[in-house]
Amino acid sequence: MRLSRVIAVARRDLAVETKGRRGIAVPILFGALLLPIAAIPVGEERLASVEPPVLVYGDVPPEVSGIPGALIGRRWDAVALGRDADGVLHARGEFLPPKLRDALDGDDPAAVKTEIAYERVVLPRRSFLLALLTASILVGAVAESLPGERSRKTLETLLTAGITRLELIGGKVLAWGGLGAVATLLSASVAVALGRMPLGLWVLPLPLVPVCTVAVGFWFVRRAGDVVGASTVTIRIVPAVLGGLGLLAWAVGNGSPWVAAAIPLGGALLASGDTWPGIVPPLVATLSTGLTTAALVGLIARDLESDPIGREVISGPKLAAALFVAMAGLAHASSLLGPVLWGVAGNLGLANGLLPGPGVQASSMLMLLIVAVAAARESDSFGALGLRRPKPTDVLAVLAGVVGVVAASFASFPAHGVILSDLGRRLGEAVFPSDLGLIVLAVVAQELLFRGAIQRLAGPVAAGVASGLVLCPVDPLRGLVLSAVLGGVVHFSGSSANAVIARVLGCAIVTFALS
Amino acid sequence: MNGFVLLTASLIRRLLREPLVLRSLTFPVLITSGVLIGFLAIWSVVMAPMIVAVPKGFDSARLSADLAPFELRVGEFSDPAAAVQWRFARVGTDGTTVWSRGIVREAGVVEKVLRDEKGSRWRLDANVAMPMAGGTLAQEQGRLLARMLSSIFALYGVVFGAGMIARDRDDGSLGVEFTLPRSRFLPGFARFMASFIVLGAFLVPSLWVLNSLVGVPDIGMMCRVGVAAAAASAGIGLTTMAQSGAKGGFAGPLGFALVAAFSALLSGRLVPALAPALPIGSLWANGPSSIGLDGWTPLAMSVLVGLFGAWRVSRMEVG
Repeated sequence: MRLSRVIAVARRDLAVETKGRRGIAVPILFGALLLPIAAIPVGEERLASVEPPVLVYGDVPPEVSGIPGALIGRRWDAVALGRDADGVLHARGEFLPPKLRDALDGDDPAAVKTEIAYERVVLPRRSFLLALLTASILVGAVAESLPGERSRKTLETLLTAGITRLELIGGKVLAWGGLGAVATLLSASVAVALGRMPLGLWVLPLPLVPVCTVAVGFWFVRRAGDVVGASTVTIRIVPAVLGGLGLLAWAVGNGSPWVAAAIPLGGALLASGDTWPGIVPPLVATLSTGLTTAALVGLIARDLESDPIGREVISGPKLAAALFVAMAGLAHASSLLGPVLWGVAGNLGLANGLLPGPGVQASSMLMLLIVAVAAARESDSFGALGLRRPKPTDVLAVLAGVVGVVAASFASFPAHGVILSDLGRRLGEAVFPSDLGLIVLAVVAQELLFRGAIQRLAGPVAAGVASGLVLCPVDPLRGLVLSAVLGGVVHFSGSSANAVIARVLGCAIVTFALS
Repeated sequence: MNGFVLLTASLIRRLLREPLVLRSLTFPVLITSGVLIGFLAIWSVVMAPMIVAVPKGFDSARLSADLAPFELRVGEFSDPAAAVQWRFARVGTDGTTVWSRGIVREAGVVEKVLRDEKGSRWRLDANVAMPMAGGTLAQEQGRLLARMLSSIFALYGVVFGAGMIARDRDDGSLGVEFTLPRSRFLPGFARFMASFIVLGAFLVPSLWVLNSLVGVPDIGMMCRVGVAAAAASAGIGLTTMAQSGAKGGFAGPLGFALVAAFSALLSGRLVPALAPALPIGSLWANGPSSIGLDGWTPLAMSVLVGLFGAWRVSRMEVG
């Protein structure tokens, strides 16, 4: 790799992208965002040692109001104090600060003490924010640089010039990563000069964070066909990668800083915040992130001439059906079964407070969205959902469907285990909702998706099995029977509207009968 | 009017056909709910069992009976504090001290039971939904998550608004639309409305998923405020892209639009009095003031931003 060529590419990239007013805007943006972070005296050391404030409201006794610094007033994180009919004081709050407990206990011999063992948690310092923010600012430039060359058709010209692919990508990474590195180092020097940060080895990984982030960004858009498509990728993926690797490094670093520092990008991000003591973590982070950046540059150069990805569409009816089923399954399970996990994780109160109704609504709305996507894929949107003009014979199909739905709901199938009772209750609410509004919303969404879009794409058997498993995973026989009845109605009558009407009527009858 | 409806419908159809758009719009809720569910799943595996450790020989009959409604069992250990430290038990007690690893709800339950048994001077109300200003802690966290999710959609709104103009400007279709015998205002406004509808159609279910997972207070208002923020951001994207003209590129105007949208997000905090009316600022309006929001005013204001953007597009030179 010839350095002069790399620098030439970098200069060209910067000149193209920062011409005119944008040339002034970039340093203003960096300065406006980074300098306050570098200069404002927040005092991380003070923050770390500050005792939790005493926030109370209600019937506050004098021994509490007399606590130095106590704040009295209603707010969500304040402790509520009040007396019961016997005059005994009650405290209600997520966390009662030690000062408050001591004041309330006084010399009470029947007091109960608490000892909370905290995990030792390390937090990065302000230079971490400088690295994070700089890396985030460069997302737009990354989206414009390489995909912009593709859409302007100038990439071919560059590829035929007397430079290697490696020099081309190296130059582009140098342009934007270098800009970020300079901005980060300058703002860090301000922080050091003002005494906000001590000078240390954290400055080694600091400039590598924007450089590696730029390389990661280029990797994700290496085959993007245009700037807009690339922007949606970088704005979505790059912060998630940066944040995810940072969180991973932080979590691992609470146990082993050396291992955490070796996590590419995440290790450098945390090490740049002077998070871990010693000289090894910043050195390891610099090495691992530097090597990752070099490897990414090589991989991007290798893939540079691959076919660009344009405005692709989901192709193939089976693939589309599989994707729709997967999305619907995910939506249904997370909305309805997610709350149960709160109970398993120890918060039974919240799990019991989260009723299945909103879950059914969320799942139904997401299914309607999938239905809209399925309809938008084809020129005949109604046909894509298996809808057609009504015929007189549809009445018979609907009647047969209603009988089938009512029979399926009252039929006795092998019971699912007691452990699944809460899951079954929540899932059952989605299949046989107890509220008329929910019936209409859930049934329209589920039937248009499974009996309309998916049955048309993948056939009645696949659609029936999919709907049975997605909607009734803990009561599969009932789900399969219901799917067979409604799938049959659509198959023989030719319209998914009949399944919608039959199930709405069937569910309404079941609800009426059970009430 | 017919032309506007047809153009908007075709733009919506185009957006819904692009997997890139679909991936972008499903990404935030997948990340948010996925992380939440994943965390809960891991937490429920690694967390200590629902056991309250007591010393050997401790008279625990009454404690066991009192803790049973909370699904907590009592187990004897030679060192209850160590049992908690090594995750054999969630909480430990010797009758006068309660040990826990971090702040856990069960520690409050045990303390409450012990204080009631001993007749302490003051009592703890544990495991009760707290009727506080602005709702319970869980609701506050639900509101925070909903605001974060809506903020991501607001950033997408900028990209949508800017991208719809930039793409069509670069491939020439916007120029063709301007040559048709109809108002130059329509192409911009149709793009704004298409962004409005598609962003809203994805944001509202995403917020409802959060509502089902953690509970979001006043979900209807949150939806209106969130959609207003996303739509106004799309209007900002339209405006900046139209301002940049025929050869303004994409990343530069997008950067300006993102900074403008971000500044608008902060405006709710900086000018609390105006926050309930601001289409993006209302998203992060301070806690108590946000309770007074109806969400309709920001929604109407977002349409005004869109109208302004459409007007700027109508005056745009597309070369």
